[in-house]
Amino acid sequence: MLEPEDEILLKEFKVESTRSRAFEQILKKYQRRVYWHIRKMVIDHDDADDVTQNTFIKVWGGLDNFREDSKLFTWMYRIATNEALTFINKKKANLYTDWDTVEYSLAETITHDPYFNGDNIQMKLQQAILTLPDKQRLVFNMKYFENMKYEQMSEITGTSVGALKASYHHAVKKVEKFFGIG
Amino acid sequence: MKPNPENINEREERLRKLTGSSPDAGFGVPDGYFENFETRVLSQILGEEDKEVKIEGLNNGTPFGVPDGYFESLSERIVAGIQKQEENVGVELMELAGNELAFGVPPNYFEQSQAEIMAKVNALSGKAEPQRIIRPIQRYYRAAAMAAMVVFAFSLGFYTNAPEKPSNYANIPVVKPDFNKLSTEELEAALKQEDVSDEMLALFSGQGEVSEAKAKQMIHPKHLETKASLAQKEDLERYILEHLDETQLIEEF
Repeated sequence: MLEPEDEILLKEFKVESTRSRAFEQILKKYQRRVYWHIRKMVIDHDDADDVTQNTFIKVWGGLDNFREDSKLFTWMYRIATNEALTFINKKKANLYTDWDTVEYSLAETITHDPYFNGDNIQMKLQQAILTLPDKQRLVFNMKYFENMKYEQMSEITGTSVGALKASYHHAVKKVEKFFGIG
Repeated sequence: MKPNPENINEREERLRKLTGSSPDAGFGVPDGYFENFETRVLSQILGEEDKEVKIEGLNNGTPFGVPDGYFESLSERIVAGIQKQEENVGVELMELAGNELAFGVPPNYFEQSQAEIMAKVNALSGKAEPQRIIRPIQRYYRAAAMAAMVVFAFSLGFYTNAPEKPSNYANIPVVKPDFNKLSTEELEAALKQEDVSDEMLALFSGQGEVSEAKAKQMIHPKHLETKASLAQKEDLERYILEHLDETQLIEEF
């Protein structure tokens, strides 16, 4: 179900004269959440910026066909998730031969990232998260950092609630093992 | 007519006539026995079970008993237990590492990014041409690239007073250490004769797109193989970055 504010924005988006203004409002409202969702997946700020921009350009192109049977935010998250995963897969295919190298590269990115403000533990947490498979990492990020409900995660990922719970459980176990706890 | 021996009904009838027996086969029951039979059986069953549970703590003939109302709330308690278990997943980790995201973004990033996206979608809808927006992060790396270029130029002998030129740099014009006399074009032209990539020149000149990761890689001293030692270059780069901002660097050039 659409939030009332989103419903108004979508109506305005469908009118040529208010289309651009409505999209700007949608952008203002959701840009940060979409960016952070992507950033946690791709790690590097520049990459996150590119993927976020692509996501919103796709949102612009797809809003006319948005069926309104889910929340606007959920729909955008789904696009952002697909964009982030596609980006990571392309990066793997283009630059690296195996996951270990990508993992190492992303961990290195965090180490040298001028926009990473965390302490050693937070650095270690990110490195631990990078050891997870992509989709498990996605689930872990949504639950651990955003405390998102499994039902919403299910809508975004198209995975059953039970499978998501199991995935999160496994992810936490792996990360805890990295820290030597659990 | 001769009776058919295979007909069971006829055979029963013949037997009844012979013995004179009724359906009760001659047995009798006390008066009113069947009137309250069901009630008596049920009270016997229920009464006995209640008696066992209450008095002996036994259930259904087993030696084990359960507290009153145990099965009524069992499913609720199982669901609550599962929920609690789910809620506890990651709690220990969260206590140790927290769940604050430690990533940051450049100053005013979201405002600028918003403008970029709007410019792109407006261009898509034919309203406007996409605008090239220089982000602060790009400005930083451009300044860093300029600093790296200056170091590079030092190492080539642009700013040295040494009388002799290395043979492998014989074709590079040597200029005096005067910033005012060295134009960007001259430096670019000279550097083009060396192994400086187009991306470095793009970063230096601000023309074309270079990613932050690539910029970092390019301005790192290990990627600038020159005569100067890495330590010297790092010191010089640091000095230039600390003492000159981008505008000053451009003015110096």
